[in-house]
Amino acid sequence: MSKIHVTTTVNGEPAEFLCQPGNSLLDALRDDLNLTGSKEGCSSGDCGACSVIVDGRLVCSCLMLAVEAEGKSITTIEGIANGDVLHPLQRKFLEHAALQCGFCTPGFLVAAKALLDHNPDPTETEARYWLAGNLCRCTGYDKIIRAVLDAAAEMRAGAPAGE
Amino acid sequence: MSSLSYAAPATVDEAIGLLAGASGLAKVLSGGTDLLVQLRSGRTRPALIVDTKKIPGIIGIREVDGGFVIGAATSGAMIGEHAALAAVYPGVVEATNLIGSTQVQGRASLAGNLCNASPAADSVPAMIAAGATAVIAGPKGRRTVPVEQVVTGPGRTSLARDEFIVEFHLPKRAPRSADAYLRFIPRTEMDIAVVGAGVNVTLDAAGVCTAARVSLGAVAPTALLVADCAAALVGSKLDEHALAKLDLAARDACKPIDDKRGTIDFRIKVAGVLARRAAAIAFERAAARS
Amino acid sequence: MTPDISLSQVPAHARHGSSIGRPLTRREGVLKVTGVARYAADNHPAGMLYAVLAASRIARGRVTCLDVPAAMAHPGVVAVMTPANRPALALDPDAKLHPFMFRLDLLQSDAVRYANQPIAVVIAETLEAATEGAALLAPRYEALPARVGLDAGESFVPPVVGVGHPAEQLVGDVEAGLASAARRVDATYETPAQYHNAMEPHAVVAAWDGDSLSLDMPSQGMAMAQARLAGLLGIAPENIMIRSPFLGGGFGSKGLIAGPQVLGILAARLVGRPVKLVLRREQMYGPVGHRPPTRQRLRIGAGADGTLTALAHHALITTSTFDDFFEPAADASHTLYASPAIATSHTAVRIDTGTPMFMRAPGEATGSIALESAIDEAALACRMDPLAFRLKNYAEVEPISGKPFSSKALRACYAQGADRFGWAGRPLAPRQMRDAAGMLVGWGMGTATFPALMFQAEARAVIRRNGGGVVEIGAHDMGQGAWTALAQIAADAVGLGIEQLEFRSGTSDLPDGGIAGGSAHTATAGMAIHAAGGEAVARLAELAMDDARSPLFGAGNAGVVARDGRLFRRDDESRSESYADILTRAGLAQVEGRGKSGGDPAAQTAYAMHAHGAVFAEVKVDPDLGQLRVTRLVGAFAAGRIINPRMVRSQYYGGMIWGMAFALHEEAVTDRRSGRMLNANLADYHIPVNADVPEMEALLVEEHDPHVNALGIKGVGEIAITGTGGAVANAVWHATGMRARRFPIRIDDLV
Repeated sequence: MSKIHVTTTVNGEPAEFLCQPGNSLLDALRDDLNLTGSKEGCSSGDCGACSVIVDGRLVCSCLMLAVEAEGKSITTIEGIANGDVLHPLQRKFLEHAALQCGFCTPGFLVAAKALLDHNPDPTETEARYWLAGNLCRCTGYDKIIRAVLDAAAEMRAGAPAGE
Repeated sequence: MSSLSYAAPATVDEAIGLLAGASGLAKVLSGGTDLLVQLRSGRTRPALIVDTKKIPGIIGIREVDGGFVIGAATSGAMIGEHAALAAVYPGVVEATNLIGSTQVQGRASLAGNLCNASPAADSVPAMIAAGATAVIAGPKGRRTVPVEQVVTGPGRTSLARDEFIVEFHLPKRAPRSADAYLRFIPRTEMDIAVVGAGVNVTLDAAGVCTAARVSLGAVAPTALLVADCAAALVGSKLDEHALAKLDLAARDACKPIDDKRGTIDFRIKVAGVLARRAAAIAFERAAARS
Repeated sequence: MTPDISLSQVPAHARHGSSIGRPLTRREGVLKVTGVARYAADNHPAGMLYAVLAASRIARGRVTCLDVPAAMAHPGVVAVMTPANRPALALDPDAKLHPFMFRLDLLQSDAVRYANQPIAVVIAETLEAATEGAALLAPRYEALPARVGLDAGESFVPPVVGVGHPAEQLVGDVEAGLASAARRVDATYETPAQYHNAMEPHAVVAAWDGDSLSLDMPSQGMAMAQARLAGLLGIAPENIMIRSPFLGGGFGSKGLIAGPQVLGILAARLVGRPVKLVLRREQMYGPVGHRPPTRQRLRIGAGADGTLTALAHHALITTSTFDDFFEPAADASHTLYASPAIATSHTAVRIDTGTPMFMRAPGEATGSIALESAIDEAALACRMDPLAFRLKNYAEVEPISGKPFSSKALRACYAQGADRFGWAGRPLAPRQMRDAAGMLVGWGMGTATFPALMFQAEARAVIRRNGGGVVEIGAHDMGQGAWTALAQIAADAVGLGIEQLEFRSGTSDLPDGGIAGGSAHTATAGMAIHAAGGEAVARLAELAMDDARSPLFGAGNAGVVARDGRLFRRDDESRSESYADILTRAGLAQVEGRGKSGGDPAAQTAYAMHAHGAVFAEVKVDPDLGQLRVTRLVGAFAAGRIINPRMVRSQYYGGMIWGMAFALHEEAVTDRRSGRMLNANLADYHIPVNADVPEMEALLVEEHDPHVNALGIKGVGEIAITGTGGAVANAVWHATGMRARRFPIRIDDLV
C-alpha cells in the first residue's frame, strides 16, 4: 500500500505524517500525531466532536481527507490554551459547568474559538446556530452558551482599545 | 478502499484526463462533506478520488458582466461572507448557508450539493429559481447547462464520467429583481429539508411582477422548476388571488414521498405555504431594489 | 466504649468549613477542556491491533456464509474471528444465572436474533485494513421474516418488570372507581424505541498478559463488569484490571459490559496482542441496549370536584426474543396521585430486536409522559387548571403502598416552579394565546418523580501524619460529576479541606464503588465514603482520647468533632489537636478506615422514598406549518441534600432536555420488512441541538430527608426527564388544541 507523505502545521508547529488516501484528517491527528483530544463520535459530520480549524475555517476533521492537510495550518483542542494558561473559553467552560462527560467538549471549544475569531460579539442566537453542529448528549447546551458569551465579553473587555 | 488512489490535479484538463483514465469508479472531491460520509460507510467504493481544489479558479467568487461566477468548490462559508453576492442573490446565499452545520459550511460546495443529487439539497431550488447555469468541463470542451438539467434523479446526474462542474454563473440582475429561499425542517437546525421553496421575481416600476421563477425541493425525485407557480405570480402585485394561485400551483406540482420526515399530504400543504412566504419575501426585496 | 464521632449528628453543610454543598468546579475539568483527558479509545498500547465488527444486515435467521479467505487475503488483516475459531468461554453467553445477567452475542452460533448483531470480528494492523476486511466478508444469510413492532406477536404477562417488581399491582377497586366517576378519561399513548446515543461509542482496548487482562473501557459498573468477565473467561476477577477514568456518557448503556466489548477482549486473546475495538456509530443501534417502545392505556376516573376515583395504567412493551428486560412503564402511576383505586399492569411482546436495557429513567420516563398527558386530559375533563387538579389529588402517602414519604417537598416545587414560570392566569382553554409574530403559544406542566435508591459500595479512607488524606473508591464519573461530589463528601468524611484530600477513583483495583445507575451513585458511594472516613476519624479519636498527653484525653461520651485536619472536643471546642500531632505522638504514619454502604431495610420498609419535581413548559407553534419550538422550560426539584449545586443543575438541565426530546425528537424507526433500523445515525436519529434548546431554569428546592441515608441524599440524574415530556406535550395541546397521543409529536398531527 502506497502511503502519502503529508507536511502540515498543527497548533503552530510543523508536523508530518504518512497516510493512506482514504484516511481522514481525524485518523491522522489521533493515530499518527497522537493528538487524541479530537474525538470520533460519528464519522459522518453530524456530531462535531472532531472539530478543528483549518486555515481559519471550522471543519469536521472526519470529513476531510488527511492528504488534504498538505500545506494547511490546523488548530486542534491541544492548541487552544497558551502553554499552561487556559484560553478564556476554557476557563469559562469550567466556571459555568459547561461540560459534563467531556467527550463533546474539545469540539465545542474549537467551534467556539472559531466563532469568536470570526465574530467577537455574537448574539445568543448567533452562538446557538453557530454551535448547532456540535452535539452534546449530556445536553449542557444552555451552560455552553453562557460560557461562550461570557468568554466573548471578557475577551472584548480585555482587548486593546480600537480592536 | 485499499486500492483507492488520490490525485490533486492542477488544471482542468489534467482532471479530465484523470477522470477519463481511471480504471474503476472515479469520484470528484470538492468539499467532501457527502463523499467522505459515503466512503466511510462503504456506500461508494471508488478507485480514484480527484481533488479539484488545486485547480485555479475553482474556489472563489468573481463579478463578471454584472453577474457572478462562483467556483464549483467554493465553500458555503465563503459564499456567506461575500457581501456583494448576498446583496444581489440573498436567496441563493441563504439556501447555501442552510447546508449542514458551521463545520460543514467550512467545506461544502455548490457543486457537491448539486451533484450529490439529493432531492432535498437546499441550494438547488434557490439556484434554479435564480436562473443559475453550470459550466461543465469534459474532453470535448465546456458546456453550459441550466442547473435544473444537471440532476436527473436521486443520486443521478447528466454528467458523463469524465466531466465535472467547474463553475456556476448567476446572471446580471434586472432592476427590481430579487430572490428568496425558505425550507421547512422539524428541528431548529441540522436537518434535511422536508420541503424547500425558492422564488425569484422581477417587478416593474409599479410593483407588478414581470418575470418569475419558482422552484420546489424535496417534493419530487429532483428539484422542480414550476412554470405554473411562475405564471401565478406574473402580472400580479402578489395579492391574495395570486398567492392562492401560487399555493395551488405549488401543491399541484408536488409528487412527494411519505417518510418519517413528513407525510405526502403534509409535504404538499407545506409546499404551498412556503411558496407563499418565499414569494412575499422576494417581492419585498425586489421592491426595495429599485 | 465506642466514642461518639458520628459526623451525621451535625448536618455537614451546617458545619464550618464543609465541602458538601459548595458549588465547586469539576475536578477533572481542566483535563477535559484541554483535550488531555484520556478516554478508552484514546489508548494505544505498543503492538496494538484494530478490531472491527461485522454486523448482521438481517434481523432474524442465520449466517450461511462468510468469505473469510477474502478477508484474510487483504493486506494487513491478521485474523478473522467467527463462531469457528472464537476462543472458548467458561460460561455459555446465553446462560442466565441471575436476573441481571443479560445474554450476550459472542459468536456462539450462526443464528441472527436482531439487526446489527455481531457476526464476526476482523483484526488487522490498521483500522482501514480491518474495516475493509469486514466488508470483504460479504456475509450471506438465510433470512426469516422479521417480527417488528408492538403488534408483532402474542403478548404475555412478564414474570417481573424493571428490577424485580410485580408486573401487576392493584389497590382498591378500579372498575368500581371508574363506574362511579363523574368524569372519565380513557386514552392510549404510544412511545417509540429510543437509543442512548452517548457521544462516546462503546470501546475497549484489551491487553492480555498470560491469564491477566488489562482493559481500558468505559464502564458505569466496573466491579460488575469484572465479575461478568471473570465468569465468561474463567479467570479470577482480581486478574482483570479495568481503567475507566472517563466515560463519554453512559445513560445506562455502559452499566453492564456490552457484547462487543467482550468480543474485543476475545479478539485480543485470539491474536495474542493488544486490540482496540470501537463501535462505529451505526453499530450502536442493536447490541448495546435501547429503550423499548410502549403502548400505554390510561383510564382515569374523577368526581365532579376533580377528586380521583380510579387510575388504571396498562403498558404493552417489547423485549427481545432471547432475553428478559421489561420496561416498567406503568409503575409511574404508583406514587404521584392519590386515588382510592390504582391498577398497573404490563404485557410484553417478543420481537427481533437487541435486548432493551436501562436507559435514563427506564420506565419512569416512558410512563411519565403518558401519565402526565392523561392527568392533563383528566384536568380538562373536570374543567380544572392542571396545577390545581394535581394539588387536589396530591398524595400525602404513597398511593400504591400507603407508606408515608421519607420526605416530600413537591408542594414547594409546584409553588416555586409556577411562580417563576408565571403560571397564574393561564387560560384554561387552548389556542387562547399568541405572540407578536402570530405564533400560537401554549403552557403545560408535569410532575416529576424518581425513586431514591441505595445500592452497595465500599470505600477506603486514610488520614496521614503529614496532614493529608486519601479516599479511594472505584466510582464512575460518566459526566454527572461524581468525582467532584464524592470528593466533597470524602473531604468532610475525614475532616479535611478538599485541597488536602487525594481522591482516587475510576479503576477496578479500588474498593467496589457499586454501579453508577438508578440515580443512586452519589448516595451509595457517598455513604461508603462517609463510613470509611468516619472509621478513620474514630481511630484517631481513640488514639487521642486514650492518651493523657492529648488535650482530648478523656473526652469520653462528649465525643469529638473532626474538621480542618483537627479533632475538637464536642463540648469544648477550645480543646483540640491536629491529626499530625496525634499520629506523630502515636508513632503512626497513618490511620485507615474502611466503610460499606447499602440501603437501610428498616427505613425502606417504613417509608416510600422518592425525589419530586414540577416542570413548566412554554411552546410556540406556527399555525400554518405546525412548526414547533419549546421556548421556555422551568423545573423545580426537591431531591434531599444537594452536594454540589453547580453539578446538580447540569443534571437537571440535561434531564429536562431529554424530556423535551422525548416529546418532540427522539425515535428509532424500524423497517417493517427487514427489521433494520432506518435511522441508525446521528443525522436521522434526532437528539436536540443547541438551537433547539429553550431558555431554561432549574430551581433547587430545599428538602431535608432524615431517612433515606445519613447524608440525606436522593438522586438527581434521572428525575428531570420525567415530568418534562408531559409538560411539553401538554403545552402543545394548550397552544393548538391538538392532543398528542403518540410520541414524538408529529408536526403533521398539528395542522
